[in-house]
Amino acid sequence: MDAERVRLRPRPGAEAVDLGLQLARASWPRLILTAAMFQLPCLLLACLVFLWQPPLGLLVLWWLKPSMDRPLLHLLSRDLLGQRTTVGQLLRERQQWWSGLHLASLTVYRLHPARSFCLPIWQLERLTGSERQARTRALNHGAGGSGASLSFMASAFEVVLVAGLFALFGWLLPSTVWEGLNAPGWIGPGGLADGLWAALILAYAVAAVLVEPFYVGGGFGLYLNQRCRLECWDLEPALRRLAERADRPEPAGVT
Amino acid sequence: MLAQAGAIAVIDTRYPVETPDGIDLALHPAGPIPRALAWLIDLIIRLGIMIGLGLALSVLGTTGLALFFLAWFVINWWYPVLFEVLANGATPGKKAFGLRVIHELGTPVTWGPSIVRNLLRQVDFLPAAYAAGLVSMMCNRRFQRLGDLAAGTLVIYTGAARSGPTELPDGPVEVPPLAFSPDEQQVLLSFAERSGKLNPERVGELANLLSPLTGHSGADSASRVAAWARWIRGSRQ
Repeated sequence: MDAERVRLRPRPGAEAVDLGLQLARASWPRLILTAAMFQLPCLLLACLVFLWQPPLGLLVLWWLKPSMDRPLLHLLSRDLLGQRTTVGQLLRERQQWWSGLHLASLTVYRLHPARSFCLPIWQLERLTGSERQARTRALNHGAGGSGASLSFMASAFEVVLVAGLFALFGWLLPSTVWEGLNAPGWIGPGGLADGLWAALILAYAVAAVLVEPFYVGGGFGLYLNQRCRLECWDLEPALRRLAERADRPEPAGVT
Repeated sequence: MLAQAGAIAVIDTRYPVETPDGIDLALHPAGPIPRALAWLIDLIIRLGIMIGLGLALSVLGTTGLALFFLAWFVINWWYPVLFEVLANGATPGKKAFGLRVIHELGTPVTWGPSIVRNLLRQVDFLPAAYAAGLVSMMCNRRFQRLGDLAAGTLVIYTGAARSGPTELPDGPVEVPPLAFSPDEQQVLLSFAERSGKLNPERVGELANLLSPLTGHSGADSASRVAAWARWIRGSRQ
């Protein structure tokens, strides 16, 4: 990999996450569009489950988020190489991002505290078995805490956005509609009313589409930083260039 | 040197400014995660103070209640401002995460901007739970919330985490075989400094890239580069 689009150097963990946020910011329209595209079928499934058991609809949306992360990471990693991937290409290249511990990320690793930091190892490096475990352990050195606080805060920011969307719609709805909605009856002895669950599911679907690209970006930034810290990955291209001019006595810039 | 990406701006977390006295500074604006956590710590501290005060003042009856509301006003509105202006730009929460509020141009934050950015928390809070502030932070590359944009302030990582150049271990000094440009010298220096923290296999792998220059491979190649790095650093035997 040759990363010309981003200034890599060893950074403290929090700043490495910020670098990832900036990476996601640079391509946000495509990332959010992609996230929305992948959220739609999940939302449909959540609605079907909602008809059966309203709270489980929300659980379905939450559970399927690792699948949405994969195309987002694929886009981000391609962007880093300066290869702008369109949504069409993304679908054609699906075998590249669909596999690579996908099932495990939805089951045994679903609650992994540093999920988005580990995703590049699972999805991009494609190691298997003990090799992958050793690799994950090595790269985790000194970054697990940042990865976990990223996951925790991403969930917190989803809650922030859900609360924000609820409050916003609360203001926008005319008072006549409010009276018809019978708000006091929403939280009763039998739990939340179905209408409230439906609203929660919709708001959460939107919040996840907005947060997930940055969550994946932050984890990717942390991964890139670990490769710089532990492998001097950022120096590799410069060292290659140095070696190329072994037989040229003048400095590169002075011609 | 790395920035040959055509029209696309290179993505970095470093934000260069020139101070009014003409010094180039590199600021590192802090993103939403450490800032939200710092806010949470400050919230806990303020709640602790209010609960303690409430218990202490409850013995005074109505007068105590009046004093309590007065204290509430002072703590809620002035806690961040006083710390930001008087304690080097950092409330206790910010200090815990190595953050600091400064003016956009790199100078310490003063009363006016600090009051503006903290008054506008009310706007950033809208429509609920700082949602507007979060969106605003992600809409500009310096992670400024609306209050920061209005006051012209930034929250940055303090220099504590940024150590200076590391020492090279003692060893032989050798004159580099070529006239390296400053950028190239920097690459060699960084490699020599940082290779102490890499695993030896990886050091050998990277040093092998330089074999055409060093005439050696693996660890021998790396120690040759270290000898040049000492010369670049100014050591002469």
